[in-house]
Parts: sequence; structure tokens; C-alpha cells
Amino acid sequence: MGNFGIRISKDGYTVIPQEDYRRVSFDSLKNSLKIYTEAFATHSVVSLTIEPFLDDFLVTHNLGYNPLVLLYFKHPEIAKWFKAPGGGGLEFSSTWSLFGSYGYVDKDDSYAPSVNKFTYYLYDGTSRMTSSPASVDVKYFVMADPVEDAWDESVSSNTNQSLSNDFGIRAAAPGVNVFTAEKKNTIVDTSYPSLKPARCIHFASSGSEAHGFGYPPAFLGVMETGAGTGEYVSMENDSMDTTGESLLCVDSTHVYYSGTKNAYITLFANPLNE
Amino acid sequence: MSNSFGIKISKSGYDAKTASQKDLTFDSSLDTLKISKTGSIYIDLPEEALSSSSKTYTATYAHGLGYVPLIFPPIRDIKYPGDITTGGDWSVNEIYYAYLPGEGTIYIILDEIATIQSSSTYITLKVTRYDPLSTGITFGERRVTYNYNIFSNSATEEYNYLD
Repeated sequence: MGNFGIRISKDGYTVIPQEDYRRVSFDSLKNSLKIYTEAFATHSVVSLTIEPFLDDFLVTHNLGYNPLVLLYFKHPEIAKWFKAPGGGGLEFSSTWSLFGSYGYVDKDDSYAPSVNKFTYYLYDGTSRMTSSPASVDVKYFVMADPVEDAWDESVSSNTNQSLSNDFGIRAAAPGVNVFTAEKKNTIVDTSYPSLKPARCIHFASSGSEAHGFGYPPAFLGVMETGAGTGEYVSMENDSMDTTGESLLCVDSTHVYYSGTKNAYITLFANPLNE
Repeated sequence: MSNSFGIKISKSGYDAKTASQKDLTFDSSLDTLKISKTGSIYIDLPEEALSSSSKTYTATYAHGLGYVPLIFPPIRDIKYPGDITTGGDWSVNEIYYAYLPGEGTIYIILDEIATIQSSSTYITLKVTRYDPLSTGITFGERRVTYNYNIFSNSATEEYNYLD
């Protein structure tokens, strides 16, 4: 089946031969991450009196497996977006530490594990919110792609999958019927949007840089573990740092990095504020 | 090739010729996240009492890309959710067990904490057991697993494809 398909190279690079997939923006032989659903919400978060001071919210996706999830929230006092798991507040505001996380559990079913729902949490940290309730913006992306072991190496499972758009492109994994392929087994399906990497910014030290999107973009960051180690960790869950502060956040104009180590921030042409 | 060639597909209700990049479901002038490999790595931790304040275990997968790739899900400092002594196997993909907020110095008493690292050669599952107060408590035997999605996209290469 590999004789047919679409390959598009990045500007300045030849399509064929091209073995370096960093230079290929799309190849119908490579499965790509697809957004199954996304949502923007504004939640009224209440300051609770019993630890762990959390408000939680249920998302139903009914995929039947645990999907990849990206979750972001905006700190209302400082109007900057953070990625969960992680928090923000101390470096930019001495008043309120806000932390977000999520789990593949059903809050309405005693937090039992679920393959059709997940629950996300907004924690009112040790530095409590100054006035309650407070409005917190949240954006999440639920991917059609699972977090299961080696799911892309075996793509024979199919169901009758109806086409949801009149126009577009759908390509399935080799050996899979494109008309009946499950969402996760389609290489591309333009009835589902995708995360679109549009920019990667390097920080050698703390600072901010104008990103040029005109809206707060979804993002992922990696940070070198030490000078010249060549080992990188994701910029996630920074609450173990002594400041209790996330290292990375964005707003509609800038990316902000408060660390001291080599860092690269991938920004997506997918807005957080809508 | 220049940007004169390629594919743009807009969201329903938008004109593909004039829609901004955020309103396109597909735009070949931007990148896509291309899956290179999916799989899992794990560590079988023994039953033990630590003879020092911490002990780290690692397991690696050689991805063969020659550069630092983007990986999903990103995992850093996820703590074991069960009983340190009697608890069973766990997956770091259950990121619900991220640390809760804690300002100032964080005190680790007894914990088992996992992080994923990536380099141009490997992705590494790293699990550290902590007993900083030398309590001598026995950590249980269990397996720690990480299910990964490795992308062909570099995580450490600057670019700008914005209009």
C-alpha cells in the first residue's frame, strides 16, 4: 500500500528522496496526531475549606480507550496560560498559587478508572485565592490517539466509521480500509483538526519572546537537565521545584520562561482562548 | 519548493484561501506531529530497604532518530500513588498523581518518583526511590511502565512557519 499516498516536504527540502522526517511536514505513511475534540470553558472555581482544595470537572469522550490529552488553564490574576499538570502564580503573583491536573477517572463514579471519561482538577494552592469564586479559563485537546502500548504498530481493528465532512482528505494506515478505519488508525482525517507545530523557540536562559501568533497558542516545552548533557525533560509538573512555580507560560503575545537551563518551546497554531 | 504549493483544508464555514492558520484543519505549510514509534518501557523494582537516602533506576528505549524527538505524553516527577511497602504495579501515564501544589521547599519523606527524559539516542524512564530520613522501610516489588508515542518531529530545533 506504500506505493500511493501524499508526502509534502518543508520549504527548501526535496520530497524524494527524503529520509529525514524532520524535513517532511506530512507523509501519508506516518500516522499523525489528530484532535478528536477540543473545548474552551470558563469555570467558576470556589475556594474550599477542606484539603486538597480542588474543584474538578468531568469530560466524556466515549473513545473506549485512554486518549492523549493536553490541558491548559489561565491564571486569572496574571492572564497567562499554563500547562497541566503544573501550576502558576508565585513568580508572577504573590497572592494565588493555582495548579491544574487531570486523570483518567470518572468523578461521578467515585473516581473509578474510565476509558470513556477523564476528570480534570483545579487546585487552590497553599497561597489561596484572594476572592472566591474566581473565573478560570480552561482549554483541553482530546486526541484520537491513545496512550496504549504499541497501539500504532497493530492497526487492524476497524469499525464502520462514517464520514463527517463532505470534503477533505482521509488516509488510513497501510492495510486498513480508509472508509471504515477507526479514528486512531487514520493517518490523516481532515474532518478532525490537528495540532499544527508552527514555531519552536529556544531559550538559553530565562526571559520572554514575542511569538507572533496573535493569540495564546498551545505549547509544549523541553528543558535540558544540565549544561551540555543532551538529556531533556518535559517542562511539566513544576511543583517540585523549590519555587513551586511552573517554568513556562504564554499569553497572546509572548512566551515566558523562568528557568536557567537550555529550553525549547514548541508552539502550535491552535489557540487556547477559543 | 515554495509556499506556492501545498494543501490547505479549512474548518467548516471558513474559506481555505483566506482562513488564518488557526482555522485550517490541515495546512502543509505547517508541520504535523508524525508518529515514529509507539510502545512501552518498564522497570521491575525489587523489594528493598535503601542503604542510602535515594536510589535511581533507569530503563531506556533506543529510538534511532539521531535527534531529540517530541514525545507524548510528557511526564515529569510523577509520584507513586500506592502504598510504598505493599502497593503493586503502576503506570506513569496516570498523571493524575502529579505532585499537588507546594510552595517553598518541598519535603520528600518516602516516595517513588518517575520522570521521562529524552536524548538524541534514547528515551529513558527514570524512577527514584527516596528515604531521606533513613527509616529503613521496605519498598515493595513492582513494575513501573511508560507507554510512549515518539514523533519524528525534533523537540530541539528552532523554526518559524508562521504566516
